[in-house]
Amino acid sequence: MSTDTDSKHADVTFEDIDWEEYDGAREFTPLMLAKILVLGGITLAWVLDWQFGSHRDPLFTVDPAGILEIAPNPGNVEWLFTLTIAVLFFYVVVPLYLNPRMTRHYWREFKKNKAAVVSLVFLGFIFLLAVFGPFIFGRPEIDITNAYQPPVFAGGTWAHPFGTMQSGEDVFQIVIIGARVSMMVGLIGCLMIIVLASAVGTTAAYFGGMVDEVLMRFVDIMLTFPTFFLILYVVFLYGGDLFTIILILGLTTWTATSRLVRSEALQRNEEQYIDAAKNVGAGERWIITRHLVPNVSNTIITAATLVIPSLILYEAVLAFLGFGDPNVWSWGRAISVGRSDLQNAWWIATMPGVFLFLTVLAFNFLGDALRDALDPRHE
Amino acid sequence: MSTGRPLLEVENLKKHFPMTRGMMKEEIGRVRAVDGIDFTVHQGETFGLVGESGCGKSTAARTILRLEDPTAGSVYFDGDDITEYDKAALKRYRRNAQMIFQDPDSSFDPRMSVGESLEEPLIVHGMGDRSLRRHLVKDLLERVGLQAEDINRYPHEFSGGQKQRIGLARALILNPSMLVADEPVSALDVSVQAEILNLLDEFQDAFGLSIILISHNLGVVRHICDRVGVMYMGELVEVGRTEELFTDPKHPYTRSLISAIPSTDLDDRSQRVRLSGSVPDPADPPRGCRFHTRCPEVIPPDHYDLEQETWRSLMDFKQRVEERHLTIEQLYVMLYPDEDEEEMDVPESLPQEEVTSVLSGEYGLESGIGDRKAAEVFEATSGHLAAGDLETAIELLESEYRTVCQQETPPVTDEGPDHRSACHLRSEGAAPLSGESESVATD
Repeated sequence: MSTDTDSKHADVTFEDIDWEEYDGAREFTPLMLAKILVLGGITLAWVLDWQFGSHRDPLFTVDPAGILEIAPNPGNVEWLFTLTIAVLFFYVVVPLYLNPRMTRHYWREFKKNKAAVVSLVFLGFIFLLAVFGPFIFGRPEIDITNAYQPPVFAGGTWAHPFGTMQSGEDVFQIVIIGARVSMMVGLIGCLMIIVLASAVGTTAAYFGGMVDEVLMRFVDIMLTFPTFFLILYVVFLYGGDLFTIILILGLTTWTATSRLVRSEALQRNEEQYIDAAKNVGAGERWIITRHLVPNVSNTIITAATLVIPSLILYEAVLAFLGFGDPNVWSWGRAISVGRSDLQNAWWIATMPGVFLFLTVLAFNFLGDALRDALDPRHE
Repeated sequence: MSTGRPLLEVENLKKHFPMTRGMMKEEIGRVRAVDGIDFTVHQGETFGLVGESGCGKSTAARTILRLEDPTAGSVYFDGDDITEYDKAALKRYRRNAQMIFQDPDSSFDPRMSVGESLEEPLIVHGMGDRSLRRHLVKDLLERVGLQAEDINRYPHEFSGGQKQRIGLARALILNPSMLVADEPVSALDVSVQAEILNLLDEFQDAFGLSIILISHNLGVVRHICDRVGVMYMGELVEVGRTEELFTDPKHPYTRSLISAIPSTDLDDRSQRVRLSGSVPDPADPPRGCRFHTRCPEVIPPDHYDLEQETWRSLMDFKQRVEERHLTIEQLYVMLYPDEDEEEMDVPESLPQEEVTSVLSGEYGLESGIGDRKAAEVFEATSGHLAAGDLETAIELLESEYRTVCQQETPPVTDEGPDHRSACHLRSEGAAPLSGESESVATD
């Protein structure tokens, strides 16, 4: 890494550089190119799907191995989920891989908390189940002949390991679909909160004055906003689809985090490295994205991780109360459906309930451990 | 020190920070951090800015670099007024004028490796070639006395001195013609200070850099600066060549600073000039000469025949009264220090004799004031104070204890080639005032 290119510039030193020729040039690294291609590609596909995919016809068919149809239109929420996973990959996995020393340091801190390590493994499992499960195990379908099958450990069969519901849907498949819904709510909501909170918080802190005043008063107003009634209203008017519910949750819950981010960024803003960056000619956007945001990322990540469980619970409550997406089997909806059959078919409500409980608990453990590992002030 | 047009000319530069209150941002006053300073820096020259903490030297530096926008005045760099630069021109200016920061611990982003921090200026100015950037950084790291391998290490892995070397590298990497060093060594051990200063000197010789060195350490300034400007409360009180200024200081403030340089010579210690009082509030600077509230050489009126020290004490007394400090309650506490404050029963007036004697003791005037007229005024004032009549006391002192230092802003006096000071003692018309003056009315 250190000697690869030295020969090429052997006799160039800093005083030989003619800066006039560099004015305004920009750099493109392969990583940036990959980010733009992948994120842009997903967005483009989403837009195309939204524009042309509504008739749900196969775009083209390939014949040799039977009929392989490529029929898009997975729906807005699926596209957003794909985009979220891609963003997580580029902004969490890739940096961790590129900075192995930093990764090792955080891992050492993180693994002190055994409950959190178990939680991480569990959540990794749930995540994989959520992303790939529905394609492997299929989606639940009504099968009246198979109603009220008990789970395998209570005298049932391996055909339905967690039993079936009153209309014969497989509870195992419902748990998997529910995991996907919960992950969508948690991760998409979390990403929206991270983006909005850090953008608003750091911008307010960096510019101060009027900008700060306007943004923070807006946050104050948003904090008093009754999210629940907005959702009821939208469900009443347009029907509650999961995409809308996630958007509303994401757009109304970022405000508390943005206040935390602002107060942290105000402190960072006084550090000399901000002045140093200004002094070498860096612009506002550069300073905010390269210096302020990375240095308040501990606060952002911790706060956002701790918001995930409440988002998941919020969605479960909505579904339980019947305001959720009627086309989607979320854990909350399954619990609601199984509630009336608790006497004779306890597994219907219990199975999704256990998963909901464990997932929320695991996210809480994870958030606590991340806070300890990333934010030494809380120790 | 070349002749010809200076690289940097600062003209009447001002930076005020408004103090606001409430929702409507109503201005209730302004801190005059820098209040009209003029100086020049030539190509290859080292100019020192000295003064005690809070005198505005750092703000001056930040304003010269346009990290703060000046309230008034101009800064000419290579003939262009940088205060009128737009964004693009400012970015070009940043390549030519760089800064070394005071605190090596906070001047590097802890989340960036040294390489990333040093590459930042290059990226910002459009150098897209990563291998060239890393080559330049490694080369420069070696030239400031570190190793090329350090490029991948993080700031916390370095000592303060090493970080300051990296800071120097960051300031140099754009090949500037001027460096502003804001207390570059004050956070370092003495042994490391010399290394950094020598390194700075080496690079100055090699590249013909102009350096503005900001420091409260006069030893350092004397060691490396060609010319020095002494700042007090946002103003330059004296500017001159280093040797001249140190051997023959013209301004009393400069003299007191120089006498405060630690010395091993015991005889020398006794001559140390002690300043009375503390630095006044920069939001409400003293009128006239800003140093008059602490100046050991504050000018007495003609018609008094007083020791300088006695006059200083009388001026301290006057200030105390003007700040409305010697109220009847405070005098009572001074008279009867043993009494419990809770159970104090302050009478309407106090015995005048005792008040006079306690005030004489407080201001070191037991051995007599020397001048009969001045002594009468002092006694009359303490009489008013003993009667609790603060307003009359203030009026009396205002009309009797007058000094040109408080009445008029001192003019700038040329003290020879490249040496000027701002003190009434040095100006031609130093004759003390008598009679009415407009500045009384403005108060």
